[in-house]
Amino acid sequence: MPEGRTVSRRAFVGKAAGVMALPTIIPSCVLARPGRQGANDRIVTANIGVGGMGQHHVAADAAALCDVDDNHLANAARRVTQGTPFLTKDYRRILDRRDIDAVIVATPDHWHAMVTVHACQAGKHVMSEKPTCKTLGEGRAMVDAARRHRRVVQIHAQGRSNPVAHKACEFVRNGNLGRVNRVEIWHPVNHTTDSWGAPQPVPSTLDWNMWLGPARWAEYHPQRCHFFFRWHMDYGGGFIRDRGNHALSIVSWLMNHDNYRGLVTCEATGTPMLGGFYDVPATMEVTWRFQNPDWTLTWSQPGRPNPRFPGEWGATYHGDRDSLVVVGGDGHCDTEEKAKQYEPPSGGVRVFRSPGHRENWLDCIRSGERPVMDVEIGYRVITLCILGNIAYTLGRRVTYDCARERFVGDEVADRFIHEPYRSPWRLA
Amino acid sequence: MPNAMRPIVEPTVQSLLADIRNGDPAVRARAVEQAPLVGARSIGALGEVYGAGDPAAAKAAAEALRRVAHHAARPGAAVERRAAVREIASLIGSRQPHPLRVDAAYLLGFIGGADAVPALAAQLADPALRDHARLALERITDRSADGALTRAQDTAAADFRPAIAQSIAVRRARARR
Repeated sequence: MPEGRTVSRRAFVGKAAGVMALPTIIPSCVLARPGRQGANDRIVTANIGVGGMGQHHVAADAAALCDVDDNHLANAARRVTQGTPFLTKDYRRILDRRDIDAVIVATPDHWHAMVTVHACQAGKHVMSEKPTCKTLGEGRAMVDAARRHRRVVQIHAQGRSNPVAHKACEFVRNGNLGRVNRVEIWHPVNHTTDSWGAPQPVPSTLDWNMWLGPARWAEYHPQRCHFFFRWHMDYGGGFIRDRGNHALSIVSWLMNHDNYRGLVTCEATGTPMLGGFYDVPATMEVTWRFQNPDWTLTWSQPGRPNPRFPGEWGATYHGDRDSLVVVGGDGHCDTEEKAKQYEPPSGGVRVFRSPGHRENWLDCIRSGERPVMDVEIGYRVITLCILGNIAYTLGRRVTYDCARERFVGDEVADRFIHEPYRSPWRLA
Repeated sequence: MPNAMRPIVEPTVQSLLADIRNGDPAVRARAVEQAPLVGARSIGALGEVYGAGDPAAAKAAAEALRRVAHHAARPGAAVERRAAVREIASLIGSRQPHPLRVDAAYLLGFIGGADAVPALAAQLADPALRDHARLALERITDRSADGALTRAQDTAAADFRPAIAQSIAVRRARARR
């Protein structure tokens, strides 16, 4: 059963020691040289956040599970069939354990950066769910932590490991559309509620204070918590910071845009959510403009699916010779036959093909290479999504310097870069 | 003629308030969009809607308040920004509805300078609002926020001092970068 919040350090250490005694859990650091796993070593993983998407990341041999909701923990524990996982509501107890090499983070979004930075500091490799982070400052802190502590940090925007998306990427990168000057993303609107969010009793299974963590205090309401947090700026930020991370990841990949460090202007309009207590916009139109090469990216919510190749969400790439539609970009991705059948010519552009997102992450832990959705790529992609929300909130166009990581001539916009946290939560 | 199709005219504080309280969601939405045109003089009136018992009107007022504040704080509008800070700071006192106080503190963190610091610093002693005030002070770039936090270290309740110390440390670390 999960530990209570008042568990003593001595009791914790004793329990942890018991788990460490299990013969199947041998940390890879015992088998290989420090800081690098051997090619055949088992990488011992733990999961932090095991509700929602998090439950699907739990491997049969997970060594430890963490969640602030007892129900999530109990459900996730049933997925572990090899050994008995250590269960806790406090992720720091997992980070304290030397037998764990790597953690998979699938907490609510406002926790991603905090857990990732602390995990790197504790010497753990990380695969963190999308969105990469909530604020621009958090993204920078995640990259810095990964580099300083030499950890492999993969963002789980798994479209970069999707074979169809890979086909589309090679098709576009080899110039089959000519010069692409416009990409249009369409997506359904954000969810709505009739509730005004009157405070409700916290379920006995949930540690609400820990769920909020670094976020400013708010009273409990079920539509502020599991899954529904997506529709609050303080936690999820709407679809643009959720699926937007997937959609813009694919765009950045196909456009070979990951290393862009120029200026980007961002304009956003939308209709406010006035019918309930969610505070993300009901609808949203965002335009980003890049320079050298000049091209424009748009996010339309709702947007009209391309009738040539419809899907719930996706993007149309407009080049001066042709166009291409790519739908989805998370676990699901599809595109037109001309791209799916494409093979680059001899001497053409070849893009690294990931064997699978988790596999790529584990391979990179063993090799020390950067994964296909390295944390810096994740940070650069989510930067655009966050800019959309900032421009909408401010009601004006903003210009962001991707090299300096500051807004241009807008001191108020700069104040969105860092989010003050509740005590005792700090990234440093 | 449906309310939402009325011709657009320059809104006044009175017309803005009437539209924010209107039962037609389309009218409310239009009022929210037009609120920046009325500017800082609408802030006090919007605050009154928070405690009037209509959650839909209060939500519209909150959205309008946010738009007014950020529009007033746009680059090059120093006079409007100061007026907005003055009006929002007047909404942070303990006689106001708690959600309004929280929103006021949050907005001051974004648009406030030295002119917002005294109002926020005064709330560091109020258990209901102190952490929201601290978060806002941590965000304000003016150095007077450092002074307010440092002084509060000696006067704040003992259980709140670690939070204040955290804000001071974060600001110092940021200043070193």
